Amino acid sequence: MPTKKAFVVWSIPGEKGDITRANIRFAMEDGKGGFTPAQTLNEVKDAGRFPIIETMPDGNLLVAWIDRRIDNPKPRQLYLMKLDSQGHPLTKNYQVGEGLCECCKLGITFADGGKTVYMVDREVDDNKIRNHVLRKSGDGGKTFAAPVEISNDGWQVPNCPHSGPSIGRDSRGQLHVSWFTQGRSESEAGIYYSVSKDGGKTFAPRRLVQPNTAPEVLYNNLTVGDNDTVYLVWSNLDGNNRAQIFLRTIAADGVTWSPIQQISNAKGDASRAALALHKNQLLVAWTETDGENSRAVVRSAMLNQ
Amino acid sequence: MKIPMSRMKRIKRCGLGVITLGLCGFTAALSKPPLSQAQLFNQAAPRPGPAIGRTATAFNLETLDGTSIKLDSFRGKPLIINFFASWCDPCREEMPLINELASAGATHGFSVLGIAVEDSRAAMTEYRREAKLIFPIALDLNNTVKRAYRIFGPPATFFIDAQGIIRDMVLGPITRERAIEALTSA
Repeated sequence: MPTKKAFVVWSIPGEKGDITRANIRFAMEDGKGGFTPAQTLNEVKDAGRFPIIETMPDGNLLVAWIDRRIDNPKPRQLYLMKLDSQGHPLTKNYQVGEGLCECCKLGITFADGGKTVYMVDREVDDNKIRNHVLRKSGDGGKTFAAPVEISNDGWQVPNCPHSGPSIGRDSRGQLHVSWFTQGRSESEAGIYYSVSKDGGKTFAPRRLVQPNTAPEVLYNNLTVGDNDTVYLVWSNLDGNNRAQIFLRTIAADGVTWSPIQQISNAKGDASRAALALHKNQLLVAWTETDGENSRAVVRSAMLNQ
Repeated sequence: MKIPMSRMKRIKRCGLGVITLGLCGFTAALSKPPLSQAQLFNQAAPRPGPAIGRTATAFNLETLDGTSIKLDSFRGKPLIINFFASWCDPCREEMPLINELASAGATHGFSVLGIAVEDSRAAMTEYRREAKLIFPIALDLNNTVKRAYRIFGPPATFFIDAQGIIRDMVLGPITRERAIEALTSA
């Protein structure tokens, strides 16, 4: 059974203080009002980064991260580890992919009771072109087929675009993906969306969700409701040159897109929005920073389902 | 690109020498009214960015040590600004070169300023210690300078002459060869 306890993964700088050679930490609620002592998940020290954790349909937990235990040749590897619903290890660390952008948030969703695992990430080639891909596993995440390109954006960037793609699956099995790219020119930059109606074999041509208002990396996330509505959130700069959080929905027909709503009003910057559905409510959380101060903000909205 | 500065020419000569040394909560509905499409797309109107030959945008930031630092305070001698972050792999890879430039600048009359973007004072302080950085580091905590200079992501390096004019810029990692080119493109 899936745990009802909250759990979290994060990365901390490695021994020498290097956040690019970090360690993956895990903790969950201890039932006494606190959290269990943090445990390190990566077996090779100072090698992990950009962890993500998701509950599998069987209640176990799947953790994924970008790993640099094999530091040459670049780029990075994709490592996984399974925990049971109480956070006990079920597997060792294992590699399922390589060629990942060194600074990319990952995305995971499941199908067929957890037998099928879909992951999205950003690959980088020798020319520093970074396109987003889908990786599919038919054996519960033990092995993955060759990655499928979601969109040939041709984004060539040598810097650190540490935003990443997001994925959700609806009741019909359609896969919905959002991501940020600058494309082949600054004028192409923005948040994009695509859908796969054949289990990730192919993707529809990308659609622009919102153009970038400045040369700024935008962070995005999506989730899918019971009625197959897609909820997209992302950051972008407002008219005052401040990063704010925006939201847009795509109805189940795939054609009806809502107007864009600005849902934050940060004095400084709002960024890294996450979202979840719970009891007919949409919950959106993000971080607001102003100078050296930061805070987490949560907003919720009742859904008319 | 011509650099009409005798100082830069001196850097050229000195820089080449340096190079050989290895160089050198709540439950309310989403209540805020949505922005109209026109509003949103007006936001997307292009803003003037930095360009070679254009005056570098002035700024006033706080350093890691808590002192104020202005672009104007570097007037009178060339300045290299490096935008970087402690979490950024390519920044870390080029940091020994930036440190060498700072060392060479102390001898040859130009300055190096690091501007930390999307970073915290604590993380940058730790990184400065770890990497033994010898140049002043300013914190762009609200991303105002990063946005004024249209930095998509770190690293990025700007070469500014003694009059405050941008003479070269590298958006992305800088190599030794590219640094030499920027310093010697007179």
